[in-house]
Amino acid sequence: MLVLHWGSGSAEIDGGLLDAQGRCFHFTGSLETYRGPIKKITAWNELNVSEARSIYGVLVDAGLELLRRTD
Amino acid sequence: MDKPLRPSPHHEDAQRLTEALRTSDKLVWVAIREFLTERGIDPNKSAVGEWGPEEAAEVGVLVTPDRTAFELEVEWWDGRIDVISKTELTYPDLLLLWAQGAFAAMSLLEEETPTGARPLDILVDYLRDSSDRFRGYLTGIGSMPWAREDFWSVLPPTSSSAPST
Repeated sequence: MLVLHWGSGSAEIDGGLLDAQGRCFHFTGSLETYRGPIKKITAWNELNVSEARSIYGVLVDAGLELLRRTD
Repeated sequence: MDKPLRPSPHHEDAQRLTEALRTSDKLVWVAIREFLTERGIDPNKSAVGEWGPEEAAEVGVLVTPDRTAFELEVEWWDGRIDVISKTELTYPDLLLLWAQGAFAAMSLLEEETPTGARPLDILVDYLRDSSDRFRGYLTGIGSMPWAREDFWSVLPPTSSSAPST
């Protein structure tokens, strides 16, 4: 799993992930404490490549390239 | 909470900052042009990807005509500006900090004069390193919260319970 984006506040997280199959996910969640664990996923969406590029930009292409190289 | 990184602001910044590097009369850019010229680096064939203040200094990322990326730091000193450091982005910490800007600056240079350099490789290295760090594999950061097994326990099973390759 590659991390396209990770941001956390005191009680919430917002992340973008790219899995080994090249699927992109965006999720948000609430944290039990600022150090975790994640208490509840408040949003979990699979994104197509176009949607993922609109959020994470060329990092998506870099991630797909990295997956190709590590196959 | 941090906003996701997007490419467009970095590319717009790179265009604006590179124009400033090459033509601006502001002291900071004049000083950087002199610094580069003294070292045989053509500022008109270099690009700046990010630039901003940091405490009493200004710091940013610059890509030279041979497509090497550097962190460049300048400091105001007694009414004048000194370039105090120029560090190649071979250190992981610097790559993590400046990868987006270095990508934008290198892309700009490749649009101007293609050399076959691959700007995307910067982001590939960045993603590899940032994902490794995220998983807590690197020495000294194993205690980061997301390295805990239970941190990810509520993620849907399609993503695996914890990020791993």
